[in-house]
Amino acid sequence: MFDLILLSLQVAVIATLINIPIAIYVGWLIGRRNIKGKLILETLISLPLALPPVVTGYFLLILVGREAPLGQLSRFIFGADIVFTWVASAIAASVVSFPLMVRAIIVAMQGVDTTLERSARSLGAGPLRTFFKITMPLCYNGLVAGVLLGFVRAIGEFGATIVVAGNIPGRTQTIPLAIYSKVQLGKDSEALNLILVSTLMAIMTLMVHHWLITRGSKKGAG
Amino acid sequence: MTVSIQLNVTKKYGGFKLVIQTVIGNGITGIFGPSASGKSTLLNCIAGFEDPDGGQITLNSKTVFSSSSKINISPEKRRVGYVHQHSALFPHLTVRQNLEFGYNLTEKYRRVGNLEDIVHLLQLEQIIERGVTNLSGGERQRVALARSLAASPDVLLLDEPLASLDLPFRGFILEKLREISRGWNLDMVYVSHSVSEMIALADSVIVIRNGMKVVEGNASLLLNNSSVADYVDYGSFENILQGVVDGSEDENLSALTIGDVRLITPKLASEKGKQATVSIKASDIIVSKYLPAAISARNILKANIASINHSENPTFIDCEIGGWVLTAAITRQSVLDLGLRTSDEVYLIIKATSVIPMELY
Repeated sequence: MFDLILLSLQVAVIATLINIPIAIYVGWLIGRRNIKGKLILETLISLPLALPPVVTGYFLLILVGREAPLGQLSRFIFGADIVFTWVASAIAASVVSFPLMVRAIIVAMQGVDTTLERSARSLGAGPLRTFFKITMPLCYNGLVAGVLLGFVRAIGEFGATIVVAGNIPGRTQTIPLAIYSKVQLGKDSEALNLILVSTLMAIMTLMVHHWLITRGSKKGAG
Repeated sequence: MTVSIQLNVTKKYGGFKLVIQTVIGNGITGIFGPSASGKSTLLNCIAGFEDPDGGQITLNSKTVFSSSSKINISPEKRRVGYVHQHSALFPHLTVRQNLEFGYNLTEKYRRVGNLEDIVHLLQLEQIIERGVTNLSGGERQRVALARSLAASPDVLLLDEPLASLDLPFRGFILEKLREISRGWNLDMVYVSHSVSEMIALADSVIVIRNGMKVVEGNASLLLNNSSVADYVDYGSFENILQGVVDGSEDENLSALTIGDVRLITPKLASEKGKQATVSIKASDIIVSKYLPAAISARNILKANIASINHSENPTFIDCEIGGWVLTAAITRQSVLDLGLRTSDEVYLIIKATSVIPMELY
């Protein structure tokens, strides 16, 4: 069971780490800039939230499958396939959890008063310094809350993962997939342990998330 | 007069259009006008927060914006300080860190004052290590001003910095602004719709309305005259009166002699026999055709109507009292109901608390 938890954490952590910089950038684009095609971008990034995860998994299979360009590229560079590996699990978890993370970050960024950024600029700070010294710290709580929400979604990912990474014990089987297999095989008591672990992890993450959100609103910043 | 800022900008916003061509000289220049007249947009264009649709902006002979030459210097390189109405302090930093933000970004050779001098000037010693979220309104604006000064700007823009402050705090900041303007030789552009702030502070004033410059010139000459009725909001026209302090009435009230009139005012700090200036809002003056009896107001002044400006509602009425003029603003309906005409005898009713001592400014 320990290996199972470790693999699940590995997949979720990698997925979250891939998402953070992209989510911050997209969050800034949507929350802070007046760009054209905002509606299209917002729809696109939220799509995995609205689609059945199995459908998302199918699209990913088209993108990274053995015959797909990305799959061939991987074989050319690494000499290995993406599909049915833990990398595919991480990609699936990343795509499915991205909307939750980015939406929290957009809200946090929209909450930052533009006059603060303007003040920083008139005090001599360029756009990058203003972003890292003013915008980011002020939406820090919202940012961490978004990251946690994304992480908890990534660790629970099932539908897209099973399509693109399969359910291979020791290779791509994460906690939710293992629970599914054990219930299917009638090993309810083994499943129960895993259910307990994943429930505890979810509760802990959500409590930290809640604490961050309320702390943020008390401080009046992000 | 050496030129400080040269402006020639146009900017469109839905139905609103800002078209300003003017030269802002050294010292403190007031930008005066009613709300939504384009004052803040103008400051934002100078600071680089908003881009004009066309035109040119020159700061101390350096072009910072030019639509024809495609020049648009970013805000952080314009060396323009900006004090916002709501101070805009960085909430995640302490007072000291707020001040250090711009100070540390300023090259050493450009620094006009060191941080401790600025802290001392604005009396921030007591709060320097505190966070900014629990400061009072007056403290916040002092920190905001100090933070701008710490970045040693070439020009300081102030957007209604006193609008949300009580009178005593305003007085302190106005006094410091005058001190800084002279002592540091720092040019300032001060936006406000308060006549008394303009007269107390600005060397010259530019009046704008509906995005256009209406008139410019000396603040006290321009704004202490009811002909400004054409470009001030109802309620914002103020009578600025100078007189001689005639002692105290009681512990809360003083008296001021202006010509033959003895005006009861709130407690004045100036001693008996000294000159003092007060301001009375035109909209705070009640006009009566008959001598009112049993009334709580401390001042009932007999006057003759010198002129009635019918062009606007409310109507501005200039009343002559022993050689000087007091302007009242009343509704057009009141003028009709009372049948007021030029040279009519009227009584002007003014509460002592409606007389604002300018020494607070």
